[in-house]
Amino acid sequence: MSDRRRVTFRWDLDKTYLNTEFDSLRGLVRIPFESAEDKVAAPGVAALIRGLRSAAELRRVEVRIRFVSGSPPQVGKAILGKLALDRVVHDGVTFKDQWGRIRRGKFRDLREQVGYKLTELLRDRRDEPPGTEEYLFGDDWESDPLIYSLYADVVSGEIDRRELAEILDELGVDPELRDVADVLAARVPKEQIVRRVFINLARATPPARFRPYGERLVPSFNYLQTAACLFDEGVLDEDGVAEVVAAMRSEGGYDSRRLVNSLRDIERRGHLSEAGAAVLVDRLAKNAALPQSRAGRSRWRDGWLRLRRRVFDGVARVAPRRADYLSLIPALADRMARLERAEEQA
Amino acid sequence: MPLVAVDAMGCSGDVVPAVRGVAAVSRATDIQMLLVGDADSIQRALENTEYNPERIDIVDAPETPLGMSDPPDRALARHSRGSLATAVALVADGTAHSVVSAGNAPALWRLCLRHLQLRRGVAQAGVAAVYPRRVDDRLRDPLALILDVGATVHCDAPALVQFAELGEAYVRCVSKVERPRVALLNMATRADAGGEILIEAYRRLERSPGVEFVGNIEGHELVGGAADVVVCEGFAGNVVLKMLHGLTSLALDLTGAGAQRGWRWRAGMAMMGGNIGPQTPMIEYESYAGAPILGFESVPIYCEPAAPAQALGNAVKLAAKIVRDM
Repeated sequence: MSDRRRVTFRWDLDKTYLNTEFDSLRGLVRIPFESAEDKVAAPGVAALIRGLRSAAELRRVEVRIRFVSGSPPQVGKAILGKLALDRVVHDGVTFKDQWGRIRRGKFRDLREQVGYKLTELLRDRRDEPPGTEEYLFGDDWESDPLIYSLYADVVSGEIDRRELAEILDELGVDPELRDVADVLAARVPKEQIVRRVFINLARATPPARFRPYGERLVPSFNYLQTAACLFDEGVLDEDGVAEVVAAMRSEGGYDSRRLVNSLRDIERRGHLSEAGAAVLVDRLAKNAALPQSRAGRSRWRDGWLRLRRRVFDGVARVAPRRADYLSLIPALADRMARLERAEEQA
Repeated sequence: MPLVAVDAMGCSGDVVPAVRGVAAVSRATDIQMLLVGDADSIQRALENTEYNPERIDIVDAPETPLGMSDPPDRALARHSRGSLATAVALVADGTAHSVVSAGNAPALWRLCLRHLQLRRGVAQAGVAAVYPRRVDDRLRDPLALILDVGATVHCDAPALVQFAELGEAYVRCVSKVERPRVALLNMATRADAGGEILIEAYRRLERSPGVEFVGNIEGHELVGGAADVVVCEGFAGNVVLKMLHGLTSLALDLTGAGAQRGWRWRAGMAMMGGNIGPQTPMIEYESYAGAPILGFESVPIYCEPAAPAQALGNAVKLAAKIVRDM
């Protein structure tokens, strides 16, 4: 086995990679009939994934890009076609076997995501060489923040098997899946390997709601914010960020002000380091990806940096290292119930 | 793209209404906004709200804001880096296109006079406000414009003519009324009523080529819909406007009290509810956008000190519309 650094990027598909429209009945009905060409990716996401792979290859890092989707394999052809159209090279997509669940009479599991995703993540982790770092990408539509944080805490050993079973029971996960999760959790080596969890705010959920999950989780409004944090982490280079900027301009019609405001927002929220932001803005200006005038220090910038120190040394740093999952479950259950009601009304 | 500076601190220093108003606008429109005030408080409020960060930036101005009762001149000298002064300065230096504030009104007025350029040919700026009126034609704007409501106390005839021209241009560009009808607020409809200044103003307005002058209008005709723009001096305009606010809230209070007294009233209200509901925003002054200050190169919008998030959001939309249309 080589001693090279290994990094795995795990992506959700709907509402994270794809702008899937399942908030209306019309959108839901259309999904099975969509072709690869019909599917729309979030602006900049494909460029980001390509950039992550090429940055890793340049630095001789072993990289894996995996997708875990809650969609059934029946829509797989269109999704794989879309990834190919976007020139996204990946190491596999896991689909949810909805038909198998129907055959076994597990109708409740059709909508259930926590047990399904957690077991898939753990199963995949079991096959990873030890020490492989992970970055996880999801959205705020259902329960990705909880699933990914729970997964990170299970593989780091922060949560033991008894606690895991208690949390999964509280979440109402199918006992069969809970037992599978328990077995897999026992088998994975315990390592602090999940570096960051990125949550795409497709619903524009207020970022403060994610504070209970701690600093590891980054709520991000667009893929420039995500790219900037990954640049700061050293897994994406400046060319990669510039590609994301270019893609957001062409695919999403972003102008310089929107892009700069996005960067300022993610820095103010304490997820991008001061030094990282300064280097990034300077380099993007040299690349002509962002305007020069915005790159230099302005009278606003001083205030902005002061704010960052005040807010994030004060607020984000006191966020707990490990989420108190049992206290988060009622809010999550309430949110899911509201979502179901909204979907029924739609 | 319009860029609107919003004084987030107002008079109280509570940034939540402005942040919520701006956040709502950021999710629904392409307007760019600068929230000016204590950046720490703004950031905390923002993170607890649904917002679109691509449309919002923050300018730090952490000084305690001027209260409603602070004398503006002396206080402004001490508050040169307060949120109100910073927001106006952002417009003056060309960074922002317009400013919205629910802060100290006299201070805003003085800052505008000190830092903003008057439009060419304008000698007297005025504060305008809208009020609901009766309209027969559904296509007509249900709101009329009245000015001045606070920039002046008393003024001369040329200033009244200027208000008429400013109001006419505003209603034509923003409310899209092709030939706005302009009236002069007076105590009688006769041309020789109201004293020397109003008689002179009447005479000048009659001869003014760009203004569709419909004559004098009395207080009881204001809500009748005869005029799109009503011109008056600041003292009268302010009294009229506040009296309209007072009467509206009295009517709402009486309705509420009646409903508490008897079941017949409640039943009647319940039956009429479906028709009354859609009209409610027309009489709720809190949801109005605010008062545009007309005559400067940019159009600042002043909101009531206790303006709720919705009113501040509407003020931002109005400011952006003016930037686009005027």
